Amino acid sequence: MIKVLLFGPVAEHCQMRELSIDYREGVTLSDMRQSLEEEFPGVEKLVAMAAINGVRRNLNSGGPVLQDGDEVVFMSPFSGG
Amino acid sequence: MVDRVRLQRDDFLLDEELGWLKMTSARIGGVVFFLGCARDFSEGRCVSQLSFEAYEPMALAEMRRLREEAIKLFSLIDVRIVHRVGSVAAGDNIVLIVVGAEHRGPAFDACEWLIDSLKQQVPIWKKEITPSGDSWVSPHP
Repeated sequence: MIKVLLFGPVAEHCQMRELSIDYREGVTLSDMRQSLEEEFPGVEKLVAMAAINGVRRNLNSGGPVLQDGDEVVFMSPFSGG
Repeated sequence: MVDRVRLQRDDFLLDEELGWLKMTSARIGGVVFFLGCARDFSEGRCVSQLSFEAYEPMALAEMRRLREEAIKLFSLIDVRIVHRVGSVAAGDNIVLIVVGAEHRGPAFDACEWLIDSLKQQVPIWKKEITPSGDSWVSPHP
């Protein structure tokens, strides 16, 4: 399983804070982002970056291959402070 | 002593944070604070409340990393960073950065660098609660 966490504007758009997606070998961060967009159309324009297991990752095409049990977060630009 | 880097729902006390900072070394010659507060007006609208969400494990890790980086970059003696999450009423405190250095110059520079970096690199999101509806805030420069 891949755990996907959502916060702020992304969570509000998806009306969801967490979802679990079945792991399949070779799945990438980009695949996961595409799945999210298919399930929640329009979310892509809110997402500016991602994190895997708490480490920030850019959303380049392809992107890193995920491992079973990874925690992925798709994030809009930060606005703390 | 309370952790130097924290996310918390409750307000913080400047005097306490200053006291803890000064306990670390008698070599501190200059202390600079940045205190971010919740404005009651934004982009032409009254704001009654702000709501903050954080991806807490990553936010804390990033805040700790920024603290360490600032200490090295500006030769600081100590730094404390506290950011609130949850609801914050207009007028209340949001974020506190306290920087202690031997001299004031690096303390001022580091404080500005830290709040700028926090805004760009720490996964926290702010929502404005207004009488005409709620909206997530776009990042401010």
